[in-house]
Amino acid sequence: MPAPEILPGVRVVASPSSLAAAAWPDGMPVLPLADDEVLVLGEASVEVADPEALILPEEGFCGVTMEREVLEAWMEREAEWPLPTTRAYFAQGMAAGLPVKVWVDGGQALLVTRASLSRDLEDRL
Amino acid sequence: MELFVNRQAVAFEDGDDILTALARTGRVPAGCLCMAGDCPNCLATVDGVAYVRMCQTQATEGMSVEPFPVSLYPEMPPGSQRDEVARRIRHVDSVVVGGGSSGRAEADRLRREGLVVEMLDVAFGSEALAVYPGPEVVARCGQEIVRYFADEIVVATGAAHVQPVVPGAHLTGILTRPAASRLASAGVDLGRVVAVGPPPDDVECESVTGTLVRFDGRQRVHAVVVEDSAGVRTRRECDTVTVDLGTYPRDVLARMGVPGEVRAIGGAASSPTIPPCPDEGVICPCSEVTVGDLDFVWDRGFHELELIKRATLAGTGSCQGGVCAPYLRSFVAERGGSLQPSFTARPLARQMTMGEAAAGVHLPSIHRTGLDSVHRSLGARMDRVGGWWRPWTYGDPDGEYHAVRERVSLGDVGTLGKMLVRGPDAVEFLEYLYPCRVGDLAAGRSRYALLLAESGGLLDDGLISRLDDSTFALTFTSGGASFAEAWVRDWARGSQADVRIMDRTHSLGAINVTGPHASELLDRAGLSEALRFMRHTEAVIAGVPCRIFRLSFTGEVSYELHHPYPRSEELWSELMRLGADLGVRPHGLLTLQTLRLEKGHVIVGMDTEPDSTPRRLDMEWAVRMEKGDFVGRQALERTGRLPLDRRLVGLTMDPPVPVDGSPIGHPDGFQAGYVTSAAWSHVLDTVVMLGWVDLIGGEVPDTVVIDGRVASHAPHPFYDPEGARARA
Repeated sequence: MPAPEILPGVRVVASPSSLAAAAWPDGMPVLPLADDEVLVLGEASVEVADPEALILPEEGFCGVTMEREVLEAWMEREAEWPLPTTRAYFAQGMAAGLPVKVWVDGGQALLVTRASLSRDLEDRL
Repeated sequence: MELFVNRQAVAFEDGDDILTALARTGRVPAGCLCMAGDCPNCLATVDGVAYVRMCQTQATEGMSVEPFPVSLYPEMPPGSQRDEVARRIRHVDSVVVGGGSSGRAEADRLRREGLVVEMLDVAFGSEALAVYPGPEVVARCGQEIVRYFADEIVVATGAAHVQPVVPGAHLTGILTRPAASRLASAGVDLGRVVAVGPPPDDVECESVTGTLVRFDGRQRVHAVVVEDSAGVRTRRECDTVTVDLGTYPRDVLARMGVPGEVRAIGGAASSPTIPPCPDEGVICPCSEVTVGDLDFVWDRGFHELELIKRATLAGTGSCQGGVCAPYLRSFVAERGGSLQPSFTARPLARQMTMGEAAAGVHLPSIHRTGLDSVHRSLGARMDRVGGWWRPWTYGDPDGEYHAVRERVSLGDVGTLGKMLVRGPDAVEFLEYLYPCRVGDLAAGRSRYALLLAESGGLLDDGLISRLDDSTFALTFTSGGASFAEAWVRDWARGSQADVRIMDRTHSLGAINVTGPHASELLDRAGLSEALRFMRHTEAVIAGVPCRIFRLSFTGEVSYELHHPYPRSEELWSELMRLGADLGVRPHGLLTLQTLRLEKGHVIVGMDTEPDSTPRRLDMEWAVRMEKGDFVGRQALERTGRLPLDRRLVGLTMDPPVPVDGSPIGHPDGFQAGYVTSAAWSHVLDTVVMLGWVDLIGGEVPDTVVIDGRVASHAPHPFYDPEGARARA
């Protein structure tokens, strides 16, 4: 399993309605961390209709890309919560004692955690 | 085929369990055998794993078996139990525990309803070990542990046969009726069999009726004595006795669960046989509890089943009440006049190895700053502090100290809580959250701030920095950051403030550049304009974009450089290079403790208690009661009218340094408080301390006694009380 790498992106905190109405860059994972917070992975230009929005470059997350089956087999060992069964989904919770975010699209999957927990994730993969 | 029992070869036949193989040789363990996993009489260490039930374990070629008596602990096998065990987690609709007729029928019914059902039975190689709220079943499935999360758990484990409790029940050659049938059907020669109660199927035997009185024999049973309703006793000689004394539901897993989540069916839900209370004999073979022991505790007032269990340990052994539960209940019913429910069932229902218990368990995760590998490469002693790996010292705390006081030093403060708050209501919200003024803070300025609970007690502290009209950067202590984030978000939501909140704790690294030459180092690194005390600005430092906060925790000129997390090493390395001729070196937490103590700075949680108000901490200067309402204000108003009862004070004394928590004695002899922090001050040539002291007549005594030595009350900050060095 490759070591987790920093995932550069853009983090947005804005009103939930502005996030819901936002047009996100094509082809980039958009992780809805909370109803008022989104992490767009990749170098993107992001705009939302909220003048008070906090939009900042983000390098505090790391992740590992893997095949979906590999991720789901790992989650079956390490997570107490069930993953969605849809073709594409985003989910987050604890796995292997770490706060993780899971982004799946077809056969590809991305496992994300805090960059400060990169070593722990690497050890537990 | 052979297995080895205590290193002696024993032949077995295909399909034999270990106990059946032993029975073929006539070497069965003592005590009544159930052959169903209910009794504790056939425990053994098998291939290095202790507490294996021989009747439930298939014999395999070359297997090593070391039986041990029920009341003794087996020798811990060296090494083998440390093997790592795999763990899986499965989500199903229903788990049915028990593969008998009831369990199979229920599983079929649930499957017909379209549910995903998992059936567990030791006969299928999957043994339920425990039930937890959720509901959750933990099971041993082959060589791995599986945690099943389900909507419902059905316990269909049937009923166990009641074991005999009479003199001689410890002898070899006693079987429950089903056990006799099972051994006989496997072709085991049971010799001359006497059946007490209904006889076993397909076993040639002499059947006797009446109440079981005793078994006779030395090691092996030679005869059984029963008594009829007229009091006439009959003695029958035999090689084997089978008993059928009724059944008792195997409901321990059902009783572990939460009602509504777990359902018992079939025999597991049947009415129990409550046998007559015996006059003598061992009720609990695991803990060797006799009827006499029960009488002993009963006569001393232990009249509840739970209390009797605790007082005698009956029911706490290997079989978890499998033998004694019916008799304990009959004992209490006979003595107390009413039948009490069975005692509380708690995991586990079966023994597990340490490897199984640890399966899938991880140590708590500990965050690492972007400088973690740098600290380790420098030989730092790392410690877990506030949820982070932090450098305690780089091996020379005195040298680290003098670098800060005399030259320049770097400290890793990436662990600090960091947050942005923005929005039309930001000022109003923060004015309510903090007891200091916020609205008058100009952009580019920072202010030290306390975070108070509604009770007025100090929760955390940090810095408020205004970035622009509606945007503020907040910092919190490393250990308090998570709580502070939740606190801020909670108040924002509760007050419906129109603010955006972004936690940046893990997004940013932070390096503290501190010491008399700190400004010079920052100048070399790219800070083109002098930054005054408690101001902040943005600049590219050593090629890394930073927000720089001018403040001081060490008592010297200090700059906190907040920067993108992945660029910490780059920034650190360049600062070390640029400051080499200035004598720059890193300092760890051990040094920081001394530096801050010389300045009298409190560490929340170390020097404070939940009821530590700013008044008690002598920090009323950080509270503006003349402003509007804020969290904790009412409590401060109320407690401010009361006489001050105790205070965190500064103390000095000659070495040695007392340990934190040392009692502080009043000159009149009573205990007046305790030391919260203590350190040897290099520059002041004395021990400096903070400690809580009860006030007598509103006054702090001039001297107190610590470790039998006199300590003096001293104003703090101990070092540079005017703060001239930090503001330089």
